[in-house]
Amino acid sequence: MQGDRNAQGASFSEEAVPHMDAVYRFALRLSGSRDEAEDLVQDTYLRAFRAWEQYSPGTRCKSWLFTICRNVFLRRRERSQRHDAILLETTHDDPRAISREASVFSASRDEDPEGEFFRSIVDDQIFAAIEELPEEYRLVVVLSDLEDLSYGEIAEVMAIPVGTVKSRLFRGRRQLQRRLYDYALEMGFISKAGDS
Amino acid sequence: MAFFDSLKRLFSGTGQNGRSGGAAPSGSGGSPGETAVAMIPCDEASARLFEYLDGELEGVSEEEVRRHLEVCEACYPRVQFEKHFMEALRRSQNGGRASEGLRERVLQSLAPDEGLD
Repeated sequence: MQGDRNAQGASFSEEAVPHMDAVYRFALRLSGSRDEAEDLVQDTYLRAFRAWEQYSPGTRCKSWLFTICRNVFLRRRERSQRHDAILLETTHDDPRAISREASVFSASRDEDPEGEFFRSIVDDQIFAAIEELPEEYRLVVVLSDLEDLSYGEIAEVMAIPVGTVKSRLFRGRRQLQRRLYDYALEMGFISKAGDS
Repeated sequence: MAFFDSLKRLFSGTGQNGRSGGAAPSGSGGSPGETAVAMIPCDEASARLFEYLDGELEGVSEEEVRRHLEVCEACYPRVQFEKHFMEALRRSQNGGRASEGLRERVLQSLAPDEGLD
């Protein structure tokens, strides 16, 4: 029995513990507070460890931990009766419709068609711009572009269909591009078409 | 490979203004041994660009979009634009690490039950 426990502890240390930085970053994006993020990480790891026998080795451990972390966060939020504004899904979820929405690419086409200005933006500013996104967009952008999860994995973590992952991700990226473009304009990394 | 891609774009015969709803690049520029695949229009390729860059297109769709983007001069800036954007996001990931204090607390919270260290 003790041998089983030791083996369980060893496999948990090998597979789950190395993702702690990623879980912490995700918890920070969820909660917006370092203290709350640390509590979430502790709670997530405790629950994950107690459920470790149910973890299937074929699945990706990182996305499993994210799922637990999000569920813990949601339960806490329900308890505290704190509800963020719920984002209304628009009916235009077709990738073509999203693609036709006003994009920064069109705005910067004359001055910087290949988006070189993104290279000039400091990491802190990118972090802040992501923070400003509505929660539903922010989380899928973080899971996809920062944590490298697939659409299917994000769908599982967020408990939403893959189609919704795509529409939130594409819209989130567009909003983020707009924020970074405005910042680049403000900082003079790029000038508006027509400005001399 | 990049040089070859540049050549393909140069000789693709795509019009300068062919991006938005414009004519699809001609499929006649393929090498003799290649199977002829109908080219999709720019707006269709553009609508699936994120899926393509995320590696989430499969089968026929992946092939159609890839073939278009490899040769279409008009779409080239947009592909670079999205790549630069996504690179900037990935680069910014480096912040945010669990502190040593947190790491210790987590391991200690598991230890009483299971002797994890």
